Amino acid sequence: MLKRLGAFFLIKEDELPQVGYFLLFFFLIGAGLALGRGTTDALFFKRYGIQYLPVMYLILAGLLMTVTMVYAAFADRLPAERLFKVFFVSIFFLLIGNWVLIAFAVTEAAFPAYFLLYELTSDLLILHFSLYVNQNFETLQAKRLLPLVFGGAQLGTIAGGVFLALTAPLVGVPNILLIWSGLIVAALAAMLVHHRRHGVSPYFRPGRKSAGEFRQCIGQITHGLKFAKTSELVRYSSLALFFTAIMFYILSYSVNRVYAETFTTEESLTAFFGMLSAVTSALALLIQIFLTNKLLHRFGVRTVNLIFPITSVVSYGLLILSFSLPAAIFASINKDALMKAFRNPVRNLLFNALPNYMQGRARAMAAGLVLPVALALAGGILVLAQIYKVPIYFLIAGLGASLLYLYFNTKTNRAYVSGMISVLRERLFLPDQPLDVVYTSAGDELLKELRRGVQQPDDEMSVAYAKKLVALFFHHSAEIILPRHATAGHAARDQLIRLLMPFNPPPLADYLWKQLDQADDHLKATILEWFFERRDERAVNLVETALASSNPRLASVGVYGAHRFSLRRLYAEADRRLLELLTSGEMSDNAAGLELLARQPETHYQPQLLALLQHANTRVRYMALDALTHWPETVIPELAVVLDNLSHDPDAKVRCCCVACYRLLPDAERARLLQAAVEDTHASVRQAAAGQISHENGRADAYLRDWILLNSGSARAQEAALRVLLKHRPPREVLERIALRKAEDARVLALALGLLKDTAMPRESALELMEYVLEERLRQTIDLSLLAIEHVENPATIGPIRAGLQSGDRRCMANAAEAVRHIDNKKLAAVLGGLLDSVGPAGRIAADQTHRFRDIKDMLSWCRAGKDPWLRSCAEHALSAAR
Amino acid sequence: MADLFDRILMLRKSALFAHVSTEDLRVVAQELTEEMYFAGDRVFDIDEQGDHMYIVESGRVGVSLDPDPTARTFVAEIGPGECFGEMNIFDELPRSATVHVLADAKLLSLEKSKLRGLILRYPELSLGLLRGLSMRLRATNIAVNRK
Repeated sequence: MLKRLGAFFLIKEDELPQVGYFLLFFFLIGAGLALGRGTTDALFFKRYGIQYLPVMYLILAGLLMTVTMVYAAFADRLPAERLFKVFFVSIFFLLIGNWVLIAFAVTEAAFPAYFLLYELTSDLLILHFSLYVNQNFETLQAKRLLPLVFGGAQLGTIAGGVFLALTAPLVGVPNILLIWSGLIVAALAAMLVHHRRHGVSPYFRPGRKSAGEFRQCIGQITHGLKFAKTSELVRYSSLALFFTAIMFYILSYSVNRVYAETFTTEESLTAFFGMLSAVTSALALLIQIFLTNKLLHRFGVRTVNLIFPITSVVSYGLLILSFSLPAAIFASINKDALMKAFRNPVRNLLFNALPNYMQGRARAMAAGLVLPVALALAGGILVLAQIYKVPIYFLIAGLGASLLYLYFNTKTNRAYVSGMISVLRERLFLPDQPLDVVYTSAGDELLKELRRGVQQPDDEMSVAYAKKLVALFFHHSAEIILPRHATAGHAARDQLIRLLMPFNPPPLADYLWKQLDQADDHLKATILEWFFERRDERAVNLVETALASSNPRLASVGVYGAHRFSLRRLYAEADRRLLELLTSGEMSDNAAGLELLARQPETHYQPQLLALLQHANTRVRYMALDALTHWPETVIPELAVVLDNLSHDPDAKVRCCCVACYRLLPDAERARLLQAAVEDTHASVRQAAAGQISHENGRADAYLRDWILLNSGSARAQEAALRVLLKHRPPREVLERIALRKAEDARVLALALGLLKDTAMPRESALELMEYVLEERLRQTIDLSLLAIEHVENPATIGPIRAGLQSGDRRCMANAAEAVRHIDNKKLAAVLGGLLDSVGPAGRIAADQTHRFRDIKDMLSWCRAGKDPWLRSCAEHALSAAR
Repeated sequence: MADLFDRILMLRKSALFAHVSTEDLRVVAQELTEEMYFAGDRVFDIDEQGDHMYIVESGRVGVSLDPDPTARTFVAEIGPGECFGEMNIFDELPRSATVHVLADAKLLSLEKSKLRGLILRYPELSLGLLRGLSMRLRATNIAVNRK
């Protein structure tokens, strides 16, 4: 029964105890607030006078600001439950004190005091509720469960309202205060028991502060204000809140004026308030349970965020048309039912798009500054409007506020997604801009930093900086690198010079010529090779010396020089020397010979090259393969076995080089090895293979597109193919088509997974493994879809979404899933958004759409029929286990 | 082949390999060697050098931190699907505990050199392992915090 109820309300099994607690807690608080609301209004309006309500608003504004500042100082620092403890104890004693003043008629001031106590209590509790639930639920959980959890408060309000209507005439309105204080004690007890069992709120992160208490109060609000300057979400939602508050208080005053005129006694007014509260809360509850979360799922946060502003405009319209009981009741339903059902849950969701450390401050600013100022303004408007007896003036002011509220809510909607992306970026430490953009835009500052890096004494670091320097500022590279070259060690000297050679900056040739005498053999070989390549006449005389050198690199460079300068008299010696290097037992000789072959492929050394492909040393094998990649286009059948062996080499660099050599194999062998390589465990090998496949198949982009669309390999292989395709800059339609197809593929995988998850336990181990594999494939396929769309959508949005989904952090994943719903490609947003939402609560997809697969066997057969090798073997294994 | 799939599943369920993809676990599973121990045996002693990590396939072992390897005061008991002895593979320090066999156990052992070879060869495997280790560290932190 409990399980079925859980499934109906989208609650996972392990969430049931937590949801149960929150329902009870909110019920108790809701019931208490209902008792407070009815008694406060009735006592104040009848024993003190509704004409003082605007003045009370002004006083309340000041008090609210002070109390909220104190609240703000602690909101971020303590777990929400600890602050609740403080609130409950304080409220309990204040209520008892107030009861004494009213029951024993000590002073008339007890009525406005009670009014203020209720208003402050309700505002603070509602404010703190939001923080409390944010510390206990992540975005997707919140989207599913908050309407239900807030439903607990509504249930409490209904019970409180009915209780008030029935008992107020019997026990007397003032004695209701004692019952409220009893409910406060019960809520406190429930909370203490829950947190003793489950520890502190799981998403509580204390803010880092060091200033004194008072400065902290001010600091919280000023931080919120500063944050509003940079965060559109905070800015627009604060403005929306400002006009909500004005609209709300004017609406409250308007309806209360109608009620106070209609009901003449304190008891009848209290009973009416009790019934009204019960009815509006019942409505709010029904909407929250049966409509809010469904609307949120169907239309998203942004659409639901507009419902309450629109109904508020309608409420003012009706009151302007007729300032009577029916219009007032509609307005009460709007502010007490629709506001709770739509506006409050959505506002909480919006706050999830803010960084944790700012949520409390933004709320503090809202409660400590925005609300009091709005309240004071509403009070001021009402004080002025009371001069005139007709209600039209304050109603028009309220209508204006509700229209502005609607306007700023549309602005808030736009800022919501960008806010969520910023939070993801911050939580996952992603840069604001891609690194290449940062590099190109940094200018002189970056050049200065790179210069400093090149000049540092550590050779390896210096070379690393130099690489970046020549890539970004090659015009300045010689003036920075050459002075450092003089002090570098042997290896670094060679590397630094090689970095400059391709750009041939003006001072380089002279500098190198001067270096020749003092350079070691290795550097000398590098320098001579460069001069020979440029056919620098000054170097012709050095060819013979190099050729005769005992150093293998110098000898190899000598061979190169002989051919480069066409020194025919040296050809025979050069050939002899090269053969000697290639057949020598010394690794350094082989390496020097192979380096030359890579630069200058000579097919008559093919037997020696093939022999070196099987050398025991990885470096030699790698260099031989590298030489082979430059080999002229020809089929070498005897390579098949050698390359087959090398394709299993532990070194990914060797396997990558193998891929480049497959073009020299007969067709059948080539296709087989390329297909295996595209499924390699190393991303660079997969990508090389995908590149090679596309290269061999005419129009690379069309071939790769079809390859991906037809699911011709595993998700990892498809990712490699997609990355190669992206280098060809395919048109937008192609990428959108791939993204949509992958999203559809992901949906089918989710169906398969859902079906498997719904299978009764205990399950075969083969099926358990299938579940893991399908989960992996689902995640990879969703990522593939997003990768395809990343380059046509805004990369600054899709990048953080992908990172969020892969992060493993529940909050980031939830925010990313929510952000997916709002990407520009609506069709993709609908498929992926729906998919990510439904993958959460287990079995949801399966329950909805099992018809896709008849049964597990059908699903396994589908997996086996695909082209994903790993999924196929797992499905085959599961099928044979089932037999 | 069926054994291989079962091993992959077992690895995937263990905390250490939980974040490695099943595809990459194939190669790890192929390198595992089955070892049989009987109740009362010791798999390894505290302070001795080791070059294997273990996954419990069946049975139960107890972990003792007592400097005397014969002492049977256990700080933890490890059952099917769980790993032990992996710290030594990464830090190369002597064993930090003695592991006693509590009930006849079938263990799958993985040699240090083989795992290192796999790590070098399969970068995604290393990332998954790092994540698994990090998660274990987090879990330990939380446990210590709770105490």
